[in-house]
Amino acid sequence: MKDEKTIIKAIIAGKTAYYGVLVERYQNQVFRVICNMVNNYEDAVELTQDVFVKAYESLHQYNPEFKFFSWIYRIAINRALLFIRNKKTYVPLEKIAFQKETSPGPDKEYDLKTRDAMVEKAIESLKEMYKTVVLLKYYAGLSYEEIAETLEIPEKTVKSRLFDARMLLKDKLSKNLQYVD
Amino acid sequence: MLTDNDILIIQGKVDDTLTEKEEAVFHALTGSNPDAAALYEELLCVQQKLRDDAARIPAMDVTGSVMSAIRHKAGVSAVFPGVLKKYYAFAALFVLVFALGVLAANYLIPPLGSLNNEELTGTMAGKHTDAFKDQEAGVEIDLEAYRKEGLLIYTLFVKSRDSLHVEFVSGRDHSESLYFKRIWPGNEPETGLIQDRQVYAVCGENAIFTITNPPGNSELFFLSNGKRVHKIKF
Repeated sequence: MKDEKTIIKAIIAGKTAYYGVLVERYQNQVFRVICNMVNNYEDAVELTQDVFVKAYESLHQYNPEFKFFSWIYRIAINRALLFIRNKKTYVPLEKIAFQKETSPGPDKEYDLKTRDAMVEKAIESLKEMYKTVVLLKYYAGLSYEEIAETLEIPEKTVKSRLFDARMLLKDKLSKNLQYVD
Repeated sequence: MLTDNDILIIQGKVDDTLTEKEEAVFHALTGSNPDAAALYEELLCVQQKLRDDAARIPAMDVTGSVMSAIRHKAGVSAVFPGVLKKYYAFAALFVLVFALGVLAANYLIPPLGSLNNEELTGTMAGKHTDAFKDQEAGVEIDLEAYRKEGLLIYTLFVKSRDSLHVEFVSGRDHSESLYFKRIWPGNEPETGLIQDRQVYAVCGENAIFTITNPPGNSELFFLSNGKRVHKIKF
C-alpha cells in the first residue's frame, strides 16, 4: 500500500499500524526542518515524535486533497516555533560559533564546524518567506511543485523566492567567510 | 545584463530541472555571457554549502516511539471513546480514587470489636446531659441523651443509699405514662401514678430509667424524706 490517500483512509478506519508507513516516509524531512530551527539534535528528535503523534490525533482534520507532508509540515513549524518561544535557555548561534572557535582541535575540523555555524546563522537571518523555501528545498528535500503545494503559493513564486534567498545567502556567507579564509 | 528568463534557466540548471532544449539555451548563455557563468558558479557554491549543512544533520528513526505512543493513546480512546473522553477519564479517575479510599479505610479504621469502651463512646454513647452527686446523702444521678431513629431517648441512672422518690411530671399529658419507664429492676412503679406525677421509689439499690420523647417542660424530681434533693427539667 503506497498511495498516501489509501494509507490515510485505512488509518482513519482503525488500521493504526499503517501510520508507521507515513512516519517512516516523512520523519527525516520533518526532523531536518525542525533540527534547523531548534539547533539541537535531541530536542529535534523529541519534537519530531511529538509532531507525528499530534498529527495522528488530528488526522480526521486532514484534507486528502493535499499532500500529507504539506499538512504535517505546518504542524512541525508551529510546534518548533512554540518550542523556541518557550525555551528561554535557547543558545543563540553567535554563541555556538564562539564556542566552536575557542574549542581546541585540528584546523580542518575547526573550519568545517565554523562554516556550519555560519550557514545556520545565514539561514536564520533570512526573512521568513525566504527561510521557509530554503528549509523545504534543502532540509526537507522537496521539489518546486511540492514546495508550492506546501506553502500554497504558485511554483513561479517559489522559484523567485528561492533565487532571492540564494542571492542573500551568497552575500551573507561571502561576508562571513572572509574572516575565516 | 541578465533577464528574468536567463536567471530561471541558470537556477533550473543548478536544481537540475532543465529540459534538453533548456540545457542548450543554458550552454549558449553561459558561453556567451560571463555574468551568466559567474552567477551559475555562485549559485552552485551556495547550493553546495546548503547541501553540506543539511547532510551534516544525521538521520534518525522515531517510528517505534511514535507507534508506541499512538497505540497507548488508541487504547485510552477505546476505553473512553468520543469527544468527551477527557471527562470520562476524569470521572474514571475520581471513581478509582474513591474506590481506593474505601479499600484503604478498611485497613486504616479498625473494626469495632477491637476497640475498648472508651473508644466506642464516639459511636455509641449519648450526650451526657446531667449529673448529680451527693456523697453525704448517698445519692448519685446521671442522665444521658441519645437520638435513635427520630426518638430522643434519655437514660437515667439513679443510685441511692436511703429511700429516694423519683417523680416524673409530663409537660403535656399528665395521664400519659409512656414517657417514663424503669428498665431496671422491673417496670412497675412502686407508688404508681400519683395525681400528675409518675413516681418510682428507689432504696439502697441502683435503678435505671428511660425517658422517651419527653414533652417540653417535663420535669424530674428527686425527693428524699419529702425533701427535694435534685431536679431536672427537659
